[in-house]
Amino acid sequence: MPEVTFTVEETGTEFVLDATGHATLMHVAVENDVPNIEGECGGDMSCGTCHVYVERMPVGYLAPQSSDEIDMLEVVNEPTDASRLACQLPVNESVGGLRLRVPKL
Amino acid sequence: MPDVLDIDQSLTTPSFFAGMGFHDLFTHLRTHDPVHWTKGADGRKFWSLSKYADCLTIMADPVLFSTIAGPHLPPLARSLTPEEDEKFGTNVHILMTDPPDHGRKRRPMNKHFAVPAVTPMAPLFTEIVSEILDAAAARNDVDLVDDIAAQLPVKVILRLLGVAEEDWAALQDMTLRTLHAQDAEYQDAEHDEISAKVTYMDKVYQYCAGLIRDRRASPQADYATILAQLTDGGEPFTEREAGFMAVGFVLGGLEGTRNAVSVGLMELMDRPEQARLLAGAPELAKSAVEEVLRWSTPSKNRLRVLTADTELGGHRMSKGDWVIGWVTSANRDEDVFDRPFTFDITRTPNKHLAFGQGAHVCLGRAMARLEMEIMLPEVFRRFPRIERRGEPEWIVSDNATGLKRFPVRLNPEAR
Ligand code: HEM
Ligand code: FES
Repeated sequence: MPEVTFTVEETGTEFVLDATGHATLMHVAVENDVPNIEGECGGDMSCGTCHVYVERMPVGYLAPQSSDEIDMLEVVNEPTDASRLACQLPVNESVGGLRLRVPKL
Repeated sequence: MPDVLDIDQSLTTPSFFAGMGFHDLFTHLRTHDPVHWTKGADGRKFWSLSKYADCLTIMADPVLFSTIAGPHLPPLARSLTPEEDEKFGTNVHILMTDPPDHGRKRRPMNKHFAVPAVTPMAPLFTEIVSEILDAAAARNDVDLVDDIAAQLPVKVILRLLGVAEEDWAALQDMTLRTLHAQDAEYQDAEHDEISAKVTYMDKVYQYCAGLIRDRRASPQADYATILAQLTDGGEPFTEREAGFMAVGFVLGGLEGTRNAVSVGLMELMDRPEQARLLAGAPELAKSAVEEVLRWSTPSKNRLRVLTADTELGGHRMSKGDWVIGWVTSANRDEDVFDRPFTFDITRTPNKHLAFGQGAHVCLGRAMARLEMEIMLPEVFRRFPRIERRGEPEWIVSDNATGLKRFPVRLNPEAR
């Protein structure tokens, strides 16, 4: 049961969630009503509503960034080097322990 | 119960769709014949899909279900000649481009239309809404369509694109003539329905190509410049490609919003308790906008052409068949929506298909949503007693659901 953690910046609320059965971290967040992650486009990289900061990357977890993702991250609210689109972070066997911070939309 | 001839006759008669009465037919089809082979009086035959799940199926697979014949049922259901295709932008306009070329055009645009790119425009949109409502208030007796609903996208979209104000009216007129060739009001003696839509599409394109040429020479802070400078990762888009991107911005931007706002305001006027609720609770604006979109479904149908034989709903379909997804029916599907014939601005979830789905999902949806979220509550905040001065007139179209005219009085006490 891989556990992932979302910390919502606005409120400080922490969501520790089981990622099993979801395709991406965006889906985990949306299914569990994590605030400020809407996932409006369902992961097509057209909406920009799933911006997160990666706080802890588990060893062996690979989630390569496409040029489309880099493009979209140019317009999100306060991007940093830790910025990712949660819809581009797959759920796989190494995802357990991933920690994400969720900025304001 | 309608017989098949009546069904086919109705589905191929644009005037049948002026209003909301057409929904009864789709309720019948959803139950009795959800994948219906439709044979009109003239023109070609097509499959009519009325269920939500089937509409999703065709939009989810843009390779099997191509948009090459145009995005919605064309007038007279006739195919274009090669010369008409050239003017209409077939294979160039993003809506009429199939994968993989579609993705090449679409991907670089996404970030410019994404929610975080659009949200900062809220103060501008608020200012525009005030400007429109101030001008309307000064007259008190106004037309809800021309003076309010149509003004919103003209002022937002054409300003964002960077169109000079003196050209707004002309572009608005060309757009109406491109999209509403089925309505006598927007026809002229020189053109039949097809030559009208092709000719006016070409006029919009010629204007947009001029904008692109101009911004390539002298960049400005506007969307015409963004589109002029887009590249597909390596090469810049050709003038024709970038020009048709601007066409999509103009047509998509002006049309759907006007129709959704006009119908939405009318439905809210007819339900004063919901209008009051919205005026007093702006946090309901988001769900209200989604309900207005579901309820109106400004673009009723999506056209796709099969690129291979397939099977859908127990019917064998052949390569080359036209398949129409009636999303207006999908948005009233009893299997998906609770009380589908109840207009409820607090409805959630509301996974309507008014913006399409999949590869071609509306590029401008964040803009359209923001425009409407600001406009709808503001009308009832400023004019809580707004009332009819006459009956609404509907656009005659088997695709567009919207009003042409609706005389209203904003503030009855002012007289
Ligand atoms: C309430 C307003 C609107 C409605 C109901 C609407 C509806 C739609 C629908 C249904 C589609 C999908 C077409 C298909 O699958 O065949 C679409 C695509 C599109 N819309 Fe909108 N639209 C609206 C506003 C806008 C705005 C404001 C813009 C531009 C700023 C826009 C630009 C586009 C473009 C460029 C496409 C083509 C996308 C593609 O093919 O990849 N639309 N729209
Ligand atoms: S869900 Fe839309 S960009 Fe990630």
